[in-house]
Amino acid sequence: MSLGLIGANGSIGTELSFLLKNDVDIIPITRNQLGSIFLKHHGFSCRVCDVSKKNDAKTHLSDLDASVILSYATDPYSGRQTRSSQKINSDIIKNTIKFSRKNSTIIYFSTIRAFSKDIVPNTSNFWMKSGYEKEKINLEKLVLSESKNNNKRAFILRISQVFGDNQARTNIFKSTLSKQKINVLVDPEKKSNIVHTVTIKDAILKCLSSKSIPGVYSLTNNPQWTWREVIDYYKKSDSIIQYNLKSNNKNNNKSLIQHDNSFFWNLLKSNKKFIKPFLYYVSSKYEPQIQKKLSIKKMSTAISDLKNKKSSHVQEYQNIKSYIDNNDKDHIDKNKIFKNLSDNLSNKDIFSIEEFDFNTIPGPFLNNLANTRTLLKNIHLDIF
Amino acid sequence: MKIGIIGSGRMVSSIHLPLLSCIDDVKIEFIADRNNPISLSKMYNTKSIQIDKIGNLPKCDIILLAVPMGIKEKYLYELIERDCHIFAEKPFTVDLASHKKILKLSNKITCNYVRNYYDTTRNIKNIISSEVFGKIEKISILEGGINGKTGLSKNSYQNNPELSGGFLKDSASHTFSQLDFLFDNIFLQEASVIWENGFDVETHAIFHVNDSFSIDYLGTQLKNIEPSTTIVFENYEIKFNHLIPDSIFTISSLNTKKKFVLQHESFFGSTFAQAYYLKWIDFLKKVSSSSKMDGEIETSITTTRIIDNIMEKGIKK
Repeated sequence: MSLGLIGANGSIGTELSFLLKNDVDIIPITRNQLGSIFLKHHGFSCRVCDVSKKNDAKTHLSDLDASVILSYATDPYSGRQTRSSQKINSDIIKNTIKFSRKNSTIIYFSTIRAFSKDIVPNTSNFWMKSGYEKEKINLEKLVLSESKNNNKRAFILRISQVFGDNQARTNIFKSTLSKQKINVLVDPEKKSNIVHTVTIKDAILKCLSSKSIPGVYSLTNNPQWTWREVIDYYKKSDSIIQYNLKSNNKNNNKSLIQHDNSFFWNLLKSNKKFIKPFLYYVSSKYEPQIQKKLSIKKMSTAISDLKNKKSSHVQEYQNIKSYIDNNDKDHIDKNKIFKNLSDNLSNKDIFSIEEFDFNTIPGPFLNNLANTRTLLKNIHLDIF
Repeated sequence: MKIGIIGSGRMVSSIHLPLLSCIDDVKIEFIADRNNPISLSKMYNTKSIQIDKIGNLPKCDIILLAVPMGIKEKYLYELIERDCHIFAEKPFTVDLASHKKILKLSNKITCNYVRNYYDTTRNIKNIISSEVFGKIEKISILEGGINGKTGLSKNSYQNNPELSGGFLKDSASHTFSQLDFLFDNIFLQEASVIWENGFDVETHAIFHVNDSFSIDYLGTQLKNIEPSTTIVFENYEIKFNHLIPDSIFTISSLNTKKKFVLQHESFFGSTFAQAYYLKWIDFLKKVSSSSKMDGEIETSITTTRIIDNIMEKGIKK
């Protein structure tokens, strides 16, 4: 069974390449040479192919029994969705489905955010809705329609936070939870929606089985872990964890300023927070102009901040040293040495992430997934 | 000051052009590239030029040379002949021999090693030169990480190490330029390089500084690492992230085992944009005052020498 991983150089794709290599004939597909280097170094037969281009897709996908689409293009300047990046994303899906082998299986990775407000409470409405969320919803629809038209089996897997050896999030959890005392702002019994890469691998293999029914599925650890289970899994054995529910202060939602009719350029000059969602809708011919306005705004703000800085002065390092040595602590006012000198160990850390607010992801889920904890016990990647 | 720009890649469109647009008394005279950069030039109200002969480019006070390393040299020779000032993107040249040859011909050049304008770099220089924590015993530097999503197109020049220079020249050169800024007399003692498809993917090097302490350098694209520089003094250790402009400094007492976090007050570049601005302002001042520039410092010949020496020792297998 040949399985192409499109976007294999991303953090999930890279880890899946290693996890799947003994189960299928894995073919990592990267858009460029640079992206393939790490995998090639570890002996993978990578294909360098821009799937958004018809000819490339035709040449490199036609022998594949299955394709997993992990790539997701964004605008390189803003990191958001623009008309150009939307076209790349839809071309990747169309070409993958069209040019992969007859009867092949397509697996597309989507997001929990496709559930919108039901699951992700702070989701905005109308055009302020994030480009990521809107784009994923549109791309899901495209996968379903294209696979139907081309008679291919398509699975859409909606995922939330991914954990694994090559996932930056895992390291953040490990490092935060290695502190002495951590105040975690979540209900520990709330279900977390997280998924480990070992379960993603398991889900891919289940999708390849002819017994699985194509469709849209939610994918989490099996069974779903509570936040307490996640924290316990990653905390240091001697770390003290205290759980607190978040205070109910709603974020001070900044009121949106109503602009008058010089709307367009005033908007661009005002605040990139408002501009970026706009990029999703604007015609691609205006993209460079918007990028220019954003870049100049960024530069002029940086320059004006710089002009307000104090001139260089030699700091009182001797006092810092004395303070650290504990020689003279009673006589030194720390604030006079440095406003921001802090005792690293005395602070009790507060740990809170956006996903603590997410509601439990509804199904349907794939059947017969293995227990994630068992899978984790049996896997040891010494690569990353 | 009239500035002509050669190259129309991402660095030019997202950094240099918007930045130069914010500086008074700067006029962008033209943007030139092998493919005519019509839309970019139109956006910045300047002349667009498709380069056929470098000699045909209009005259101006400064040329920003932002072309891939592999094709930079021929531009440098032509521009030096015109006796104009050159602001070259890094890495400066392919090797030390070319670097020396160019500096013999002109001292009106700078290379955009921008990290020397970071708060981070200036603060650690202050800490070291104050000697409050004593003498340095050793330094270790970690950087790199698995490439991940590149954001580059299939045909980007960065996929060709002959053009981009690979990790050492394209990325680690910044770190070596910081070492050049901080210390005199840096010598490579040993080095090993792992190669993959023509790319240098991991370099381990040990340097000696002033015969007094060593620097252990690891730049890797084969492991996930947290980038950091750790300076060990007799009784203290200071750790920071040399890659970012506004790093915090963790100061540990080796005797009491206590750790403190120090966030300096900002007085230099605490963002990437500010650091680029300071670099440009510094160069523009030197050009307008006609002050003599030290080409070896401006272009960090030490950085090129370090890379050359590493390449020699870690020769491609």
